[in-house]
Amino acid sequence: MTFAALAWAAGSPGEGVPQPEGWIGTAEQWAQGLGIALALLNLGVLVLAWRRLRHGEDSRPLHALLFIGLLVLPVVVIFFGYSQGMSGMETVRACGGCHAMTGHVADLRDPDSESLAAVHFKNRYIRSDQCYTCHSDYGLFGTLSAKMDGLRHVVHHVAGTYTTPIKIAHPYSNVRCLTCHAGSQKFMKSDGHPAEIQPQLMSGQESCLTCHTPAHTPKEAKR
Amino acid sequence: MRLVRLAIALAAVGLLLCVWLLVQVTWYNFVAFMVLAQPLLLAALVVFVIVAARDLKRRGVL
Repeated sequence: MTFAALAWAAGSPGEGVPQPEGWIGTAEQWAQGLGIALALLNLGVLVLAWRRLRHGEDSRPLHALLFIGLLVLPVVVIFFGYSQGMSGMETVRACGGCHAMTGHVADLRDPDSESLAAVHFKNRYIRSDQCYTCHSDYGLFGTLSAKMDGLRHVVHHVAGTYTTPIKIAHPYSNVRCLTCHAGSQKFMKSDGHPAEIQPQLMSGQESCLTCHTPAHTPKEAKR
Repeated sequence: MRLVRLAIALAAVGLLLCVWLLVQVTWYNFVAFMVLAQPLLLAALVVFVIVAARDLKRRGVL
């Protein structure tokens, strides 16, 4: 309960929509709460050790406190930090945290926008982490390369080495669209995807974005 | 004892950065976690290991 309360106090996800799991919270919220609790416990252990040191103590309990506070608990806290940080960086809020992205996120959230991203967002075709879902390849290496891209973006943001409107670094892969759309009846039976063109879409010879455009309409691109 | 205190101080700063990240993830605190918190916690651990090894040598255990 304490962990869930801590996570709740830290700010629960969602946009006012009641969560199906009710009061008990999600696994992510529990992990967040547990991480905070363990980090605070770790700080408490270090404070205790510091106090004992001040009294010139050199005993086994002090050694145990130092061992737990400097070796055991930090490893666990770092684990929770990674788990929380990695998933937290996949949210739309995290992507929109950089100035270069504000136009894209504003367009995404604009109910009047007809850009591909906005249509996916406003209709909840993707439930959460919409930027990350469409801008990461699937599979283990997809996640890894998305994280590396994110790191590169942070470097560009900090160094200011970017121009607006920002443009995608590599051609957008059809696989990202087809992972969800391929095989669906709407996709298979659409007049826009006749049987003769489907192999080209599958192989990436023809880009989905040739017809389904614009992907984003940020204000700075409209100028 | 001064080195142990240094280790505690380094770890405390690292942990505060971890708490900041755990409370609310933003790219600022995520970068701080990756670039500062972890090296600080690692440095604290290294200092602690050095102190512990010296102490064990002094007592003739190592």
